[in-house]
Amino acid sequence: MKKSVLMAVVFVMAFTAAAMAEFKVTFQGYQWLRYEVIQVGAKQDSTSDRNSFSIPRTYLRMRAIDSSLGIGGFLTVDINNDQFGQKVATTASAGAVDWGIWVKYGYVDFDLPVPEMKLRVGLQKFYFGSVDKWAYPITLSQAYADRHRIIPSSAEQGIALVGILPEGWGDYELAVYNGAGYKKLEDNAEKMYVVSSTIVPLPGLSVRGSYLKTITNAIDAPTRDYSATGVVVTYATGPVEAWVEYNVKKEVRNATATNSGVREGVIAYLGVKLFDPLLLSLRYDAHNPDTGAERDEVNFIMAGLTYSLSDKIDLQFSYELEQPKMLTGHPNNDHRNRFQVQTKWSW
Amino acid sequence: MVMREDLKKQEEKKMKRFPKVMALTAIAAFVIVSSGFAAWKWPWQKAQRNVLSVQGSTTVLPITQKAAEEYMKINKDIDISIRGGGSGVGIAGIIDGSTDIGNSSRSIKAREIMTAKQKGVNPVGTIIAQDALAIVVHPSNLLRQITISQLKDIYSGKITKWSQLGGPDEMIVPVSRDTSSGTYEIFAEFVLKGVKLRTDSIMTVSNREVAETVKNTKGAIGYVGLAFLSPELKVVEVEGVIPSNETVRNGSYKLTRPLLLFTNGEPAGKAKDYIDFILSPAGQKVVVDAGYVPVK
Repeated sequence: MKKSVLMAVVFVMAFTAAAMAEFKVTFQGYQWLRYEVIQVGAKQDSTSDRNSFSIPRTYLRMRAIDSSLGIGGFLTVDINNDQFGQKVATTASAGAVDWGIWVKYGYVDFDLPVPEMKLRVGLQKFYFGSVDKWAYPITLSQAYADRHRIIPSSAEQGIALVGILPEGWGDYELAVYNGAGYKKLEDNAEKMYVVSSTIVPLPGLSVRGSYLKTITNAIDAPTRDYSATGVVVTYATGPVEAWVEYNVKKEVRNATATNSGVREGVIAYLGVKLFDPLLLSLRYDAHNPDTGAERDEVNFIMAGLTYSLSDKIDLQFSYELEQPKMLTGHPNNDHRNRFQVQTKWSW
Repeated sequence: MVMREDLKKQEEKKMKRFPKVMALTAIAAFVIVSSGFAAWKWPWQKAQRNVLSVQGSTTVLPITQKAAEEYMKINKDIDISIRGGGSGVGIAGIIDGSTDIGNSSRSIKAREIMTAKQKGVNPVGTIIAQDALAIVVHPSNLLRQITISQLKDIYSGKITKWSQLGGPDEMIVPVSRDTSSGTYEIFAEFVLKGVKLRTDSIMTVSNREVAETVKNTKGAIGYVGLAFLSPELKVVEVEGVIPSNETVRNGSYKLTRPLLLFTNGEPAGKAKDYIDFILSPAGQKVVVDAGYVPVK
């Protein structure tokens, strides 16, 4: 189904329901204001080093909920302003643009007869690993599966069953997505199933497993079938939260393929609330883009401080060291330092 | 040359295995080390003062407020701060650690339990009192009893006249609480059960307003907490049972809800002392004086 038709269906359903129901509507949003410095290699290099101000994210959110009908509509608009552009496929010969505006999330929830279960239709979160739970305590990094393209995008169009297990033992999501993401033109060529579940067996300990599989479609343009698995183990107690995540993506390869089609990564995160408004976050990513290749791994070491000036304003400092493991002399072997100072404010 | 290549391949295999080994080591390290953080207090944290914070349900507020006054008369070194905000706010306060005790006039939801457990919080509720929804009608109404099914039909619009219940040919005027209130949540859970409230209901913002409206409107029917009953209101039996302390405690009256105080884990320290006081004869007298049903 074309993106525009699906969105039209979602909005017609939402407005029809609104006409019949009494919605409680709320508006909220937040914005990031960022200064970033990037330094590549041991010496300053004017062609690679850069610094910039940007407004990388402005989210405008609307919720309309009628609890007596069991229907809710959710809309999030994402406005991005970045000097070095976003890779947005607005035309066939797409280039980078300085700013863009997208519908990030636009979906309707329908309560189902099973307690705590909903049918969610539209442009929604991608339920895989830590992607839909990542709250950006370190501003530089997205969730691993999002950053290193284990999944196509952090938001996808589709239909999902989402719910909470009885007695709060965990949650589950079963989704069918169309694989187009929310920033590029519709092509409907990489539909996929995703199954995810979090189990919380003990206070503080939770385990999340996710599995993704594309659906072959011989009619459309040739697709690259793949599957992906993610496991996250989290432990939280008092001021400390720690988790470890493993992701692997396996692409179907043909006889002429030049790589293994398998990429994997391990992520370790530690968050410590030093005192009430100050959070220290540390993260280590070990990224292996091709398990069949030699010396192509990249490690990322990240650290961040988040100071909550109030419940509406955060001040964040982040640092990332990108360490490629290529052999000496490889053109992509330079390490990269990134520093960021960011203010996040919400309303 | 062959040996060098073998060594090189062995080293590369080790490098490929490294992330997996690191992951397993990290998991073990986190579990072992963080197990000691359960009662961790950073050295630079301020020494704990004798302050107990209580927040949440406005239905429970009259009990906790009066009980705090009585408790502090006996325990002069303890300072108890009481705030409202609603049951959801009380439970959220336990989860994020911003309050010692969270008041609630409803059971904790599965989503809240999951969020709490993910943060290492084990929410435990202690029932300190019971509340019930009494069905009241205008004093001139001859109705003596009603079923939950009939209530549902009245508030959904299926039954519009008292003649459909054996009364005079007069329009029924349903009075309801606003849909954001805990009282309405209980009514919706026990009576409406997913059916939409009729749009011509008179919506009110408090139990007191419901009582006043029903008392002054011929043909009106409404629901209020037991604490808001008065001789000027007529109470009807629900499923053949009149609401009273006895029928609420023995469970024969159906429209009841527990009033709870939530803590992180079993109550301990100052929180336990305060909750034990509320469960003592002196504290249960506070419950009765506030118009609720004691549990002891």
